[in-house]
Amino acid sequence: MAWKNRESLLQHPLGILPLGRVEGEMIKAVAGAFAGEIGMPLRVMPGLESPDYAFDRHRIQYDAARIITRIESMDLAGCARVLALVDVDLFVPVFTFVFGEARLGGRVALVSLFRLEDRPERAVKIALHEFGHLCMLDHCRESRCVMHFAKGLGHLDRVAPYYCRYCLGQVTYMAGV
Amino acid sequence: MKQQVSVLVVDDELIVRESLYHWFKKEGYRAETAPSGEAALECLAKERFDILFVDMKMPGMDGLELVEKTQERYPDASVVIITAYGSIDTAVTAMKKGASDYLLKPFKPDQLSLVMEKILRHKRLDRECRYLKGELDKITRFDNIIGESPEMQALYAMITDIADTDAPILILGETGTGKELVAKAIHAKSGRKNAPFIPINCGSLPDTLMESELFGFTRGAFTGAHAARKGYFEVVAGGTLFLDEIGEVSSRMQVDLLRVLEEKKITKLGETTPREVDFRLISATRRGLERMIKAGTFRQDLFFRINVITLEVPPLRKRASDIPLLVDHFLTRYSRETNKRVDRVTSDAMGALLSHGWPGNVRELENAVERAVVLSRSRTLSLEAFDFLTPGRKQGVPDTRNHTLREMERVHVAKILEQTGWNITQAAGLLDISRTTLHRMIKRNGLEKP
Repeated sequence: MAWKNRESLLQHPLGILPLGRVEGEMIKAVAGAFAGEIGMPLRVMPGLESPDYAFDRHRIQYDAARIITRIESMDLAGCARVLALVDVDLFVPVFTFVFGEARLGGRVALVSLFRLEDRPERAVKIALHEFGHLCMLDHCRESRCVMHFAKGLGHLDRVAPYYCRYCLGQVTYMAGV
Repeated sequence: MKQQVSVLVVDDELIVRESLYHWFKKEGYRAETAPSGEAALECLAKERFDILFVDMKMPGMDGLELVEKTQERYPDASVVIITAYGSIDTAVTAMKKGASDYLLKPFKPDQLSLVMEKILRHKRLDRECRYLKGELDKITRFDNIIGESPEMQALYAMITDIADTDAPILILGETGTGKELVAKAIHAKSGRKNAPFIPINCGSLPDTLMESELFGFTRGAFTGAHAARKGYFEVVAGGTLFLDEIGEVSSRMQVDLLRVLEEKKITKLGETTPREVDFRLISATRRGLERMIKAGTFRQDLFFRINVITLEVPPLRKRASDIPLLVDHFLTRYSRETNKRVDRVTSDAMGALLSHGWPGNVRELENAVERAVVLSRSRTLSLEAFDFLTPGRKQGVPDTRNHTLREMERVHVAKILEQTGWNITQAAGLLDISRTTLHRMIKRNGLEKP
């Protein structure tokens, strides 16, 4: 789907959407990384409240899929794709937690800041990783590439905050830069 | 690499199916989903899946039943059970039924990666194992002949060397050593491999029948010849003719054979004009042809004709190191044929097989293993399964109270000779007497080699 819509995607910026209490420093770091790594047009969208509608009482966590569905149904203010930064702990049903969530070729990616211990460089890596999935990228076998699957914070810290040249080629093609 | 690995997620909950599906897609695997056990079996019938992730609790066919059916129909597919915390016991049952692993919901993403890594590593090792087994088979097998002993390796080298020549070959060997397999191997490696290989057992055909079978006849050549028929010399047309037990051929047939071998021409019964034939002759015998020549029962000129190259197939007792390999081969064959899972032999039983004399050679060993497999009620063949090889062991020593010393000597010497396949040196060693004394005892007791 994303491939078919590439032309229309190129005409619109990537929206960065804060949900709940997200520090300006985090937003700045993520926006800076996208501008530096990919050089694509960005728009920081007005922040929204914490996604209480996705709260699961049994798991005391927030359902990532429900948040994505809600954002997809909203008016994205001319943004072709949205990267939402959330301050809550995310889960998908089979996993205990996720740092972020995005569907291959989808329009909305989530980045949870909850487990990142207020370290912007970690948020940047998750954001670039999930954006890669929006650009149809699988997990990369190159261990330093930001698209490499990070099993935990230790792994995440060993990953570089940029794409390998193959993944970067795909992302820049999809971003039209 | 990952693209080649296919994963089927089976869960009645859409959200679980989707979560796993998307994760596998992001990991670069080929993924599909099925909402039930029944749907999963339909998917499996349509295409091959390497790994199944199966929810334990599903309406209709549950995970356990699906594991059983998958193991039965698609044993190469690995199954991972997904279960909730409270049903670990069922997951353990599933593991006993053949599931590779289980995951407790919800699990950390790295647990899923670890399970995948483990299964893929296992599959890779399995592939390597199969490949190496194939390579090993190439070393230990030679066109269906099994054996890795130095004697057999020398035989394989000889077969390779002589296969492409057209010289007649005489294969010597005791009964049951596999002379026909050697002849087939020579044919398969020769330039005649695309033409027929025709084996004829000279001992089983009466003289007159053998003549008509070999040379063929025209219609009306003799009473009962209602239609013309080609003989084997013609039918073989460029292939290999294998005459087993050539020592059994009558004097008259020996003359006819000699003529064919010298002239490469035959005259059909009822015809007067000879026709050319093209074949390679391989003969075999278990009898000492030299002795027969001395006794005047086998023609020396025919012997020289058929004996351009001689191959000797060693008896099994001279290559006892091949016995475990042969036992393994026959176990596999007869387990498959009898649809039983018998794949082990206890060390006691193997010891007994190794020390047995095998006068009937590989054929006797094959029959012994077949009988043991047929009668076996367990996966492992124990010493008792081979009791029939040494009847005295189970049935006790026969009543010899009324036997004279001479009678006892006769029985015992005959038994030892049978056990060693009439190997005089071995038998003398077992009896702790000299070869000369043993020869004297054989003569005195009127014992004859079978």
